[in-house]
Amino acid sequence: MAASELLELIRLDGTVEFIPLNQSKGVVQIGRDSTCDLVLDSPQIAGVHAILDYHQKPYQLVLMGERGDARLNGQAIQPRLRYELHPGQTLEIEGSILFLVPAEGALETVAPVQTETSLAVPGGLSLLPARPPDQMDEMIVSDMGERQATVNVDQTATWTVNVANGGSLVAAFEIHVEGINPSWVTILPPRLNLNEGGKASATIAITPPRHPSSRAGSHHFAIVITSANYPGRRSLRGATLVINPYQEFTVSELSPRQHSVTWFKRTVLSQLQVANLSNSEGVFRLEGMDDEKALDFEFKIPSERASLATRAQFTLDPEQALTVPVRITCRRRTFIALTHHQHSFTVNTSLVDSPQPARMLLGYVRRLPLIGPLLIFLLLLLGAALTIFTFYPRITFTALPSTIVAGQATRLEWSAFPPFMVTVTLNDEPVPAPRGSQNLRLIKTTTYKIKANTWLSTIFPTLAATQTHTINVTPVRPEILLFEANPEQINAANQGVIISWLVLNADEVSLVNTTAGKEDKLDKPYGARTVNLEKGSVYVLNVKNNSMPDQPVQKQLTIPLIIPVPVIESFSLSTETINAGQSVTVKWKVRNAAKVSLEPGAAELPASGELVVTPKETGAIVLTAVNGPETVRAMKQVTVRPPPAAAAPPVIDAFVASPEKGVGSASGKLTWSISGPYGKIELTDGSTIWNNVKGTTEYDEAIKAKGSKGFSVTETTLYTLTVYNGDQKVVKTATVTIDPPPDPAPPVIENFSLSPEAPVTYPVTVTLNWMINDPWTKFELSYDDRVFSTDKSSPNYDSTLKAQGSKSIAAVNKPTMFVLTVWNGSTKVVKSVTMK
Amino acid sequence: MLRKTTFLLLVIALLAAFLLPGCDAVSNLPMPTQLPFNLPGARTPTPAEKTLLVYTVLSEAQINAYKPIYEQENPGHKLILERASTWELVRKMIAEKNAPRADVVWGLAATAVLRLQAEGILAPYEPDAEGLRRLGTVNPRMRDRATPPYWIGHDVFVAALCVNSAKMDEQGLPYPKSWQDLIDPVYRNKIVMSNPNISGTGFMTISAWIQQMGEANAWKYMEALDKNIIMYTDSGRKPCTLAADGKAPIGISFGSAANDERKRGVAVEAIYPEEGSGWEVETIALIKKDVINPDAVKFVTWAIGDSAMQAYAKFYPLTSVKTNITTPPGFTLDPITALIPNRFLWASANYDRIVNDWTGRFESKAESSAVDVPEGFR
Repeated sequence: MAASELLELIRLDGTVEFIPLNQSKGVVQIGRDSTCDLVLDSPQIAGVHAILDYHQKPYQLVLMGERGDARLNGQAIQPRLRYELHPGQTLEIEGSILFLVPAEGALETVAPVQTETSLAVPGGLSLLPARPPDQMDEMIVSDMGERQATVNVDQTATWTVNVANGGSLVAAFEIHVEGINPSWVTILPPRLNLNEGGKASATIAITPPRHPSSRAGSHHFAIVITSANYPGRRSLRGATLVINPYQEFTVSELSPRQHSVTWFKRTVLSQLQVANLSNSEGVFRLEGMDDEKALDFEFKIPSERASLATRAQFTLDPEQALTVPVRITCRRRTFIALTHHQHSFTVNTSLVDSPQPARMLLGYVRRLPLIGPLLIFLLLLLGAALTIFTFYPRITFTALPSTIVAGQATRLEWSAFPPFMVTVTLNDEPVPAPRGSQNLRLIKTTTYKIKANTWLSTIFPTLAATQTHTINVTPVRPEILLFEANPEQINAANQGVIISWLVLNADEVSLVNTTAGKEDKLDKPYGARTVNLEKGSVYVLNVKNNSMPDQPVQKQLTIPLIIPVPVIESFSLSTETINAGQSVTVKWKVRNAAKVSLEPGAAELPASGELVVTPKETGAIVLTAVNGPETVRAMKQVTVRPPPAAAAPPVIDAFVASPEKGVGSASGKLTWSISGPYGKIELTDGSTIWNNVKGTTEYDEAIKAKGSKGFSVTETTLYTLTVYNGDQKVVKTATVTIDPPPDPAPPVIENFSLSPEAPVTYPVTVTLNWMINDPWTKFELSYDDRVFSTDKSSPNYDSTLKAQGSKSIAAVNKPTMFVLTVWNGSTKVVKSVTMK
Repeated sequence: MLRKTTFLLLVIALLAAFLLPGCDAVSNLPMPTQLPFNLPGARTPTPAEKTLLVYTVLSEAQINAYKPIYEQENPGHKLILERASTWELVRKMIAEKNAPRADVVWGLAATAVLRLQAEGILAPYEPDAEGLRRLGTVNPRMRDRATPPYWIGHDVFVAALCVNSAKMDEQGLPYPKSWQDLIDPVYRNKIVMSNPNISGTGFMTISAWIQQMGEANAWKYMEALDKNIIMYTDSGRKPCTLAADGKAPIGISFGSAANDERKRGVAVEAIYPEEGSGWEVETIALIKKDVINPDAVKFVTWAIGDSAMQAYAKFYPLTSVKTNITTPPGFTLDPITALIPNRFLWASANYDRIVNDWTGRFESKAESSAVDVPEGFR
């Protein structure tokens, strides 16, 4: 029975633990759970990942965990299946290695079995410390020559034993060998029948096989001869077989043979098993090496407390095997590479002082870069994501207010990201900066689309950032506040009419004369214009606001041409009978007439008035009033008596102006007296005419045969009085002469003095005294560049100045001349005083 | 060792490549609500800057009265006011239409502000609840009828004659009672009025004459009146100032100008001609910009509020929100009774035509042309 066995655990970090297998328990739980006998911490390891049952042999292993890597002697094992675990085998779970260490002395060596009754041990291992002594018997007589033979394994050593029947019976003798593996022994013949006193020989051949159990060294044994015919008797001859040593060993494959190291995990663990197949103890040497000198090797030998670097040496008994963990550390690390680097290495196992060739195990370590192809791919992916994040255009776009009345201001604001290498367009028109604003006055609902582009979105147009805002514009309806004509109708062709308009909310205003088919664009929403209409007309005012261009507001204005029938309200003669050459005064008053005429008399007359006519013979005086197509006539009969004499010219008895002269201006009266027959009287001052003909614009009721008229003139004026009688006329003039006003009298300066006149020191305060007699209009007091004036309109006005007064002037620091200037109208007097 | 360093450097480089763009992206993210305004004309108010640029035609006296009230009631807020005559300001704002500078236009006559509205220069007033409440108190006839309104009137000013009593008595001139009285030759070179091409008061006046008399008669009237005119001033208030200074006995101006001069202690009387006077509404409006400054809206809300109305009422007898202030002293009659039915829309539409005609006739006496303007009147 073996002693208690151990489980050796080599963790990922290289630490080694030994877990004794407690026979009383019989089971080892392996897993991540802290209650397990063997705790392995890895995310891939289940709470209870594997169970090792060592109640029975060979041990049974069941993998419970579904995930992770588990290998038995390098072969992957499946969950929920039962596997046998033999001593020396390795179980690898997620990089941690479990090694079942055989109990001491439990190596598969063959130990000789010694019994009390027999020296023979089935295993062939000698248990006899020395050659057994010969035992002689008188009945069974034996003899043999050389007692010791030396052979190599697989060679045969022979001994001859002579047997003699010393008894009195014919007897059969049995020959056998004790103390050595019977399988090595061949006895010929193994039985001898001898008569009494008879002799015979038998050959004993011993051939140790080439097996570690054929231990090198001396193997003592005994040749025993017995006979059933002589019970209880036997003859024994001791001999020794010396086996020469031979050397042989085996090395298992590295497990695992191939490793991967990373930036962070540079050490890996492998193992190999060395078995001594010699028939003698062997000293083994392990040595790790790699051509690139990039790897460090450490060997964990159970008999050594520390791991041994590069090479190690240990001793194994025959048939003993040892599993040696090899920790391989890669000196180099790769930061970034597209592929891994593979280091090949060898672990040489040799038997010291032996011609046996060394065993070289080849292994591989793959050095994985920190940033390998996958990470490079991920970094490229990250770079691409960053690039997209950076250059993926984004934009913020606001429009406030978003609902306006046409013409109201609204403001667009935008901010694009990134703030560089971005192109922003507003309704496809580029804007100067990625961040900006624009004030707008809109007349209709408008959608604004802002778009931000970077080089990225130029390549991938779908990435362009676009935002739109619709600004809803409420249209504004124009309003016509005023559209009128003055007068509202015309009474005759070519009459002037003033058309006035005033509109609100107008962008376009036009005035259409629908009668004439003429349209005028008006440049202002208000105004007035005078039009001459030949006929009745209809005007339309069209007002349009651009926010509703299809719905202009219109207003119609009808200006009718209404021609009234002329009405002769009065028509009279001063007398119906006259003498030839005499005149008659005709008075009339007509309304609604465009043209008034008198026959005989005048073709063009005002609507009302009076006219002196002189019919030559008896007949009718006809007043005709015409208004367009309407004509109305009135008639008065005048009887003309034959002329007694020729018509006398009118006589101006007097025409005088009073006063006839004035200075500067004159107001007064013109008086005149006319005698004899007369018709029209006309008075003029050269610019204005007054007459006695009613209905004319010059009519003045003061103009009559004896009359007067006031005047007010500022310059010399010539008045002319003309009196008509038929074709006779008399003219007389009167002149009002205006003389220019005389120059005003010069003002008198009674006194102008100063005190003190000659000061001792400067500066000094000077007092000026003056007295001015009337008349005067203004005066000024001056010295150096200072002026004091009584003129209120002057900037130098000084309200303290009086006709008689004084003024103190402080801080006069030099001799100064003071001047007093006094005006009376345009005449002035100057006086000065000087302070010395 | 070298390999280890190389490895570390590579790891750092990879981390940097990963992280840096991310950091950059975070730091470049735009703020979703804070919008910078950097266009011409767009100003972003900050807590430290609470100034408003306001275009106005209000007189210095009015500004000196109104501005401190606003700034006192709104600590930290400051008004920057740029003054101009009515039609100069209109032309300026039309020129600035595409790059407006100011936030608010204040005091502009309704006739003028209608032009700005038609030009699309104004922004609607869309206030908070308090602003809406105040808007509800405004006389609906004195504001834009649209909702939200583009302009809101705050007071009414009325054309009137400023008559210097002392000068009238000194020169023995009769007090005019009507517009027709002014063409009497007795007033030859005695009258100053404002240039309607520049002054809102001037245009208000001649617009009213045309509406009252008809075009032809109004032009005849103005031809006759021109004989008595010394100068057409650039400012609507200046005729009253000249009258107060004694440079002309009569100035055609507006009632509150006479009132202001009386406050100076000058014997100036406001005469509302018996035919009726032209009148205008002073308005306030927001100027359309890319971004409307919220403080501008608050300012308009203030300008139609009680304290502002109280201030207006000290200058004008009629405000768009009733106040407890009685007619300012100096108004010789109830100005309300003197108002003609004014047609603002017609006046606004016909402004160019009328002033072109007027300029062709009377430009030589305009203060700005300086052709026939007598010495001492500029």
